Amino acid sequence: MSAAPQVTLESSDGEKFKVDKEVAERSVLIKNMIEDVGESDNPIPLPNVNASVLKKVLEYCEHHRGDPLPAADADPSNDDNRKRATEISDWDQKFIQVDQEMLFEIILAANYMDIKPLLDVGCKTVANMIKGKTPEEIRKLFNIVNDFTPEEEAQIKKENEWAEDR
Amino acid sequence: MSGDQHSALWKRVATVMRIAMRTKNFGRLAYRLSRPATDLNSFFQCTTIVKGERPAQRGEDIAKHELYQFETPLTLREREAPTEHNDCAESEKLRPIQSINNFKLNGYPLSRNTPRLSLGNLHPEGQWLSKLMDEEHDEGVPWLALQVHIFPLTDILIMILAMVDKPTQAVAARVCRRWNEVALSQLWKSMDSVFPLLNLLAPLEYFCQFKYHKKDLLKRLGAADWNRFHHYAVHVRNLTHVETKDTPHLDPEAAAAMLFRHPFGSSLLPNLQEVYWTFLHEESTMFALAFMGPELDVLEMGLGVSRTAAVELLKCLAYRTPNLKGLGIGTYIRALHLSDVVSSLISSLPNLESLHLPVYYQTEQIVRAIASRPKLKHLMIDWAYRSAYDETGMEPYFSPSFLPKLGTFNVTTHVDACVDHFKSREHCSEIDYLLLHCPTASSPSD
Repeated sequence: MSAAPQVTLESSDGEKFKVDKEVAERSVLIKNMIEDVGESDNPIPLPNVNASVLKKVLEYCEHHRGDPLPAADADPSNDDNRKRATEISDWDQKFIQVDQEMLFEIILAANYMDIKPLLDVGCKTVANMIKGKTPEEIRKLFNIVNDFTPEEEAQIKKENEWAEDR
Repeated sequence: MSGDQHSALWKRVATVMRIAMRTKNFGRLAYRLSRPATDLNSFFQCTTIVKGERPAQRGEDIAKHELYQFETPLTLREREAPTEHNDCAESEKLRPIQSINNFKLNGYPLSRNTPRLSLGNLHPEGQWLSKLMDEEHDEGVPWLALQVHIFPLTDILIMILAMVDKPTQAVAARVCRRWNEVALSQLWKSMDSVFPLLNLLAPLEYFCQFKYHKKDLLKRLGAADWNRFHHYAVHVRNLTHVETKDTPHLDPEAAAAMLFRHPFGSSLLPNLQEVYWTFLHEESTMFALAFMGPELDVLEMGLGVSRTAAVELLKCLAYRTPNLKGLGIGTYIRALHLSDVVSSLISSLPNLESLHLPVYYQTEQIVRAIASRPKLKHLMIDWAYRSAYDETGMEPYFSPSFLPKLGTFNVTTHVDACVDHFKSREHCSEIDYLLLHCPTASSPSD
């Protein structure tokens, strides 16, 4: 037994991960849950996260274990956060270099487990992928079907032109 | 696993769900059940799945928060006895929508090949569920992975598109319908000019040279124009408009015509919260009023116009924007000319929390009005000379109950006057920010 208190997390596919409580509590969901039900030896089920994603998420939590917790009610859409949009630290940058499927899995897991900094990193990465692309390139990138008629698309372009040519 | 173990497991899952629902992230909750189908039964007995909407928040009108309710065929067969937490009472409310084993969504083939995660629009409503059958599993029961996707991905798309710049948002609006909705809400949220809005209705010159285009404008303002306008106008929360000498002059008569033809009967920008408008043209003061209504929270104005125009504007504001929480006025017009209207404007704003006034606006009238605003938290006023403090007789208004909520007090004054003021106050504890400018020690003997 190590000195630091530990908890066990169980992924959707049944794999168990034993981690330091401090690491697991980067996730607000888990933190609340431990507070709610008290500490127990029972593994904490994470039915939304599979083992490979959970492993990745825990790698992030482990690296950032000592970081100050973000303000609870920081609004993702406010201007400060927007300005920081392109800033991703080197380690995070490397960490998030995964395929698109995994990237979305991480974002979803971070969202579900309520790990705001990780969610930010994921969203920023996607935001950076979008920047400077045409609608068609974005569609290709994310496999999105264009459900606009050419006329509709032209109309939208016209009505929002003021923003495009800055 | 035995039945007992199953329900114990799902009870814990239910705990997770309940906690998650209680948090503000409720709207972001994703359900992906990847357990043998037998487990779903006890899961639904433990978990309340609420079909509901998040409390409507200002600033969030796009996400349609709908949570799917579903029930497995198994549930119908073997209901377990209520658990001790009596969650069953709530689970009674569950309404079977569709059997999970027959889940088909608008004819879209849900197969293993369906990408499980997508920011796009894989089916017409922009929501999709995927059911993944894992045949390799040997419990005799197919494993289910079920996702209710509109939730997290719309929220995540909002986050992503909030992080990109306006040109990118404009591009994103053309990707697909789902992106369009999210991108437009971000793009039009904060406008730094009123012109794009007017352009939705008619070419700009119709508003600037109204007398030449009167007929054209009136001809144009039909239902289609207003629908187009409204489509964007609902997103606008901040409006900034800075006039320079090169900015086109807006004709107030065009605004009158516009309001006259406005079919929705209420504000042009129904969700507008903050306006920052720097006026340089006489005419635009009246034009701007067309955009200001009771929904406005914050108004900051630069009044680079004549005294008459400023008086007219301030008079109207008392009626048009009665719910202001923040008011800021910057002007070179002397206090003497605006004291009446400014003080009556302040008096007519019961919710005022923040006030910023120009230099030398501490006339008795205005101070009296300020003192009558008990909700005021932030006051920025330049008390530029001591005589104002002594001779205008404002001291009585600074009674101990004066502005009990005041937290920020940004004042330019003579230091002694200030010391006198605060020395006698027992109620300064609320003030956590005090900025003193003491420009001169005018009479050293003080």
